Amino acid sequence: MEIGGDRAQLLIKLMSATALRDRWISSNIANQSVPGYKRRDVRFEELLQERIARKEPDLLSVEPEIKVDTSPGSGPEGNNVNLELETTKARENRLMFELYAAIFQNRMDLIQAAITK
Amino acid sequence: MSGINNLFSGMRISSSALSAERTRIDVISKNIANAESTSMPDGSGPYRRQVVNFTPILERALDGSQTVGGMKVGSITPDTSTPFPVLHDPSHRDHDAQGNVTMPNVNVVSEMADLILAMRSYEANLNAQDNFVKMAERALRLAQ
Repeated sequence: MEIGGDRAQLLIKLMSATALRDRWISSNIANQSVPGYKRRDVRFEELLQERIARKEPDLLSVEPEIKVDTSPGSGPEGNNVNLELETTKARENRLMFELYAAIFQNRMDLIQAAITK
Repeated sequence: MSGINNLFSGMRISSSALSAERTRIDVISKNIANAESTSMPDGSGPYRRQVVNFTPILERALDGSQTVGGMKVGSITPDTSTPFPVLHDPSHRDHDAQGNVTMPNVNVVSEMADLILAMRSYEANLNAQDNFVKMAERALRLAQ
């Protein structure tokens, strides 16, 4: 889908990365009692910001990174899932998704209005 | 929108954990119910505590590598490390020649603590699944 240009593409990638992050938060919550399981993080916004800080114009080629958190844990065999942390992240992540979706919707509505004039 | 496919795998992850935690709750309930069962119907002596062992579900990622998805019950095994407590009670139906009774190796207080943890975990997975559904609904509304 090329309608909307680069900004729309970036929003789609942001929503996509947020969906991926939610999948891994669910995985963390599901595996909170599994011996030896280490929690995962999904990094995307930080990677984008790094590119922006280095003044590189190409943001659309950034892919989300799934990172295993190797820090020690107090759970069975070093399981480091913290339920409160995961729940908070889930809520925060959901709000970000709503935000991106709203901006995307807004943009599509504007384009729709322009096309139908 | 290839990333949107990830939304549905998330739901399966949560539901696998819900199923596994339910099994854990059932096993804990069985332990508590049998805390005083000094002789099993098959004549094998006192009830032996059962333990649920969880294991991650491995799935294939888009690039072909193995990755963790949900969670499942790997096995339900008898607890052979906790000894059977022996009480002295000559009035008990199952006492031996010395008036001692071998009780099941179930500590009810410990089982209750496990039950609370299991229920908390169940609830967290339920909320995670609900979160997913709401996000998917939001994504679907974009197409309207």
